[in-house]
Amino acid sequence: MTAWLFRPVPRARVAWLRMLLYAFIWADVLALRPWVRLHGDVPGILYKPLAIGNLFHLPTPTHTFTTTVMVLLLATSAVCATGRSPRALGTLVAFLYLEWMVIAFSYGKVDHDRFGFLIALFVLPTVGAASFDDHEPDERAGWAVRCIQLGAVATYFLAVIAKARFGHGLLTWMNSTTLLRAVVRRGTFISDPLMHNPWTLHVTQWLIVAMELASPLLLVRGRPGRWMLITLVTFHAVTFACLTIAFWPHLMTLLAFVPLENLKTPNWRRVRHRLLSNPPAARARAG
Amino acid sequence: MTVTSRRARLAATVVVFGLIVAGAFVGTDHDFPFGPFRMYSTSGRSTGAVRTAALRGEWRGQRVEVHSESIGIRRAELEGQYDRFLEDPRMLAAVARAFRDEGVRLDRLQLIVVIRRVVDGHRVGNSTHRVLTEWRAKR
Repeated sequence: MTAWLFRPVPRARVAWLRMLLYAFIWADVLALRPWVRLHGDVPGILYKPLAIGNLFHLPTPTHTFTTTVMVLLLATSAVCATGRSPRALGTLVAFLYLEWMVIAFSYGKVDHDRFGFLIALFVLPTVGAASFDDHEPDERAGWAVRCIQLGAVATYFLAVIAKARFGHGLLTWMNSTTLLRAVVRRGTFISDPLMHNPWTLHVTQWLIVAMELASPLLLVRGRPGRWMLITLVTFHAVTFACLTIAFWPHLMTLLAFVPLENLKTPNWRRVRHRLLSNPPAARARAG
Repeated sequence: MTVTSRRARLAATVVVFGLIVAGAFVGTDHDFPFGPFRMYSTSGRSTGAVRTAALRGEWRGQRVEVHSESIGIRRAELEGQYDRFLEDPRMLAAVARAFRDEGVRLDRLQLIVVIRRVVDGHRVGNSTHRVLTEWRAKR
């Protein structure tokens, strides 16, 4: 079990994960969840602190506080995306993002796609220095990647428990009209026709539970793991087409299953040289 | 890796994943980040109603289009705090003030539930609504 948890992984994968996950924070804060920032302007009376907020006496978000957390989070994640200060600043990013989530979810609605991403932010700093061309297998990198993977699997597998708990039993949930109601609430031109054939949504609910129960296959090396990953990515793409819902931070954690270390090492010097020798303004003039 | 750092990592793994498994069985959203993964986990009956929250504003008897998102409150956040809105009239008053600060003038604001009927898994008829609570400007 311990050997499996610490199975070495090339440090290059951690370098890639850092760049992609820290860069994602910018997309998340500025484009995907812009409403978090607005919570600083919501009347304080609507603040409904989470257990973690009560435990650590976290402040009621104000405009200044929310803006400060956002600026610090963006600045530190930008530095970390370049691979600098992976331990100290990386840890700071993890805590700032956690606080950003507390600001997001303390007003009556909690999203459920953050667990794996938070795990990733807390374990990535523990690896220490990692570069794109460092193909040396490393136990610390292995443990960090494994934890992110376990976070992703937990998100699927434990969702079955939630369906049994909150859906009056798993069988009741599978035979309910949960998806139909979701389509009524936020269907698209792709999913609206399904309302006329509700059996399609009924069958989909059975398939979703089967898929979530099978999610530990992600951890199996080789073909089973690859197929499970393809199945899940397809599921998320279809969900987005039908309900315009995507669990973006969770999707980022699926990258931990991809052998990113096989990607070509980015040659930053060449990228910089190209940009500087042919600036966009000159290109526009030439065009 | 030293034995100590290996043990520390092992302990952290057991604690964090132990908490999330416990959260799945007995936790609530309040326990974030260790709450249950309850996205779409409730069961909808094949015949019944689909309910969503909305705000309805008025100024001098005329309807004013108001969206809670424009003052930073998501629809699901209204739904997640129904009980507090019902208990404490200051909640909706504060929402009205937030709209005023955005330049939206209101003398009446209602928190409503929009109801759409589903029969045998099919959506039927037009939507109706029910007023949950109301705020009126003092004259």
